[in-house]
Amino acid sequence: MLKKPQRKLGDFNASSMADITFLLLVFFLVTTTVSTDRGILFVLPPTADEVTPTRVRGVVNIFLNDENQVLMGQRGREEEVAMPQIRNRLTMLQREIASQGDSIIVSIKATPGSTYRYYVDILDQVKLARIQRISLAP
Amino acid sequence: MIGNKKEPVEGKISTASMPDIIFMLLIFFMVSTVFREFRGLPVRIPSAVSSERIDGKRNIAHCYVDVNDRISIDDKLMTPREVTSIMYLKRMANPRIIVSMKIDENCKYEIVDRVHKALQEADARRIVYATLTKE
Repeated sequence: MLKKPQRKLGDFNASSMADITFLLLVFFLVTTTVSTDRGILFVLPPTADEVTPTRVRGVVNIFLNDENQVLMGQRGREEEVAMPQIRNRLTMLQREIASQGDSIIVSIKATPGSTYRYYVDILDQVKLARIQRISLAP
Repeated sequence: MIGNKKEPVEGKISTASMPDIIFMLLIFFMVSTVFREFRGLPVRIPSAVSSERIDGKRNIAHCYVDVNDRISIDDKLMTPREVTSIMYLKRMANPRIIVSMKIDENCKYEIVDRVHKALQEADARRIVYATLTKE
């Protein structure tokens, strides 16, 4: 008989595959961090020497001083306001400026000695008033 | 015949497709995982009402500033000048980069302004002031 002996195919035990993948799965489950990045989006103006002079009409200035007091209003008409009132004041000014046919631009200027927390509070209020154009005074 | 006695049916769930399901989950997590590369500085970030969720983990660069005016990016302390150069490189590598500013709420605005200027020079102007959510 010249019949070749039949070759047996090697068997591969795949039963532990599930365990291995489970292990990897658990590893990735544990290491995955859920996105917790929250914050206030802001686009910084271009560098000072690229800035083109803008119009003055429709600009509302907000100043924050070293004592963290807020002064706001259109140029020459700034007055002191409390932090929670900024939003309402801005809505009022927005309407007033819109009636004159302009759009509102908010310019924020904080002194070097003011505290970051209050700066964020101002930005928060401005964002809540749904103002699109915000600039940082140099 | 007195009535057919039903043979009890043996219930069996085939576990043959289990590895496939697990594989699918595994691949999902493998693809979506972004490893946290650094720890940053201990900061207390302020809270704000209008804070929104920032999507796209891969586009976010973190910049920590603590109360002692130390600036840290990728776990390296640096000066504002170094911030400019590293951010310029990062922006070159990914033009859609957003800088997440994790600044301590008790920081003075002076250091914030310095970081602003450094980022402006690097032309990485899209930033996020990281905040907690209030109310």
